[in-house]
Amino acid sequence: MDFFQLLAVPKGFGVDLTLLEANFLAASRRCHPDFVGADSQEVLLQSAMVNKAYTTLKDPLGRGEYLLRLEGGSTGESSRVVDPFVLEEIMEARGELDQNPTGGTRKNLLEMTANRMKNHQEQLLNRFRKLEFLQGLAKADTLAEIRQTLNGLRYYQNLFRDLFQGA
Amino acid sequence: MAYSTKVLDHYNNPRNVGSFEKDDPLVGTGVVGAPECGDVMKLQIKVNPLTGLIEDAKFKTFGCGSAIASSSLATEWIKGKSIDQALEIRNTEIVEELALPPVKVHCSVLAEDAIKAAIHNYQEKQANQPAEASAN
Repeated sequence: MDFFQLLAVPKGFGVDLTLLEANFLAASRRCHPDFVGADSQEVLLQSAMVNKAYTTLKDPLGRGEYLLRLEGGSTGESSRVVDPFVLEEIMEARGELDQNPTGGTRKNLLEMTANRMKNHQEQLLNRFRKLEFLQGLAKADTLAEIRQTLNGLRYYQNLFRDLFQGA
Repeated sequence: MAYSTKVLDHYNNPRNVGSFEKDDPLVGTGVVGAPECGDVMKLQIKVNPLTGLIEDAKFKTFGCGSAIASSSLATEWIKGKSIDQALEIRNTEIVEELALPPVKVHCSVLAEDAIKAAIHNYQEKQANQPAEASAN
């Protein structure tokens, strides 16, 4: 049973987050020792699995990585291809932040980064949707595109986190 | 795990930090990254057209101490070398010189990739030069 089945949400990148949370709460309740009565090893394992499924699917990057793995794409460690434009922009943004760590710069960069994250997620949504109609080489190409988009998203998410922490 | 004294030295006194004009035909620029840790590294070479040697190198790295040290060391090593010699530098040599622990080996890989990317960029620029400019 995969994480999507475990939390009873349709398999795909565009997960309904409200439904995901509701199903997570219901599933946690079902395997909570207070309700099950005994904290057997099995229940404990199931509870851990439910938690893992939720944290994975809740986060766009985690969800994308997980879905890509289910579809047979390559993992983050084996492919570090990133769009050169993304690297340049990250380089520039980090340089700007270094030189001028004040509120104004940070605010602009946060805005830019949030936009890029949104944009990457839209791309992921489209590419994962496209995937189900593809086979062979065309599928492999799209899987590679998804890999690259996920790598880009990771950069922007990291940058966003760093910008946020220093704000 | 503590950083080695060599890493600390490069980290505290990085060599060759800065950048060259990206559009200069004698400059090669390589920007590489490791998505899993978020490091970005830019390494640039400036080639002397008469000798074919890398006469200067600069870098800018946003990442951990090992990534900074690896790229700093890389610029030191490639200065004065020919393109072919610079291409021979292996990440394992960087690991050895800086005594990088296994979890930081990817930083040295990044530095090797950056050298290659910069050289590749330079060679591409040379190949795309108008004929009369490259005839000498």
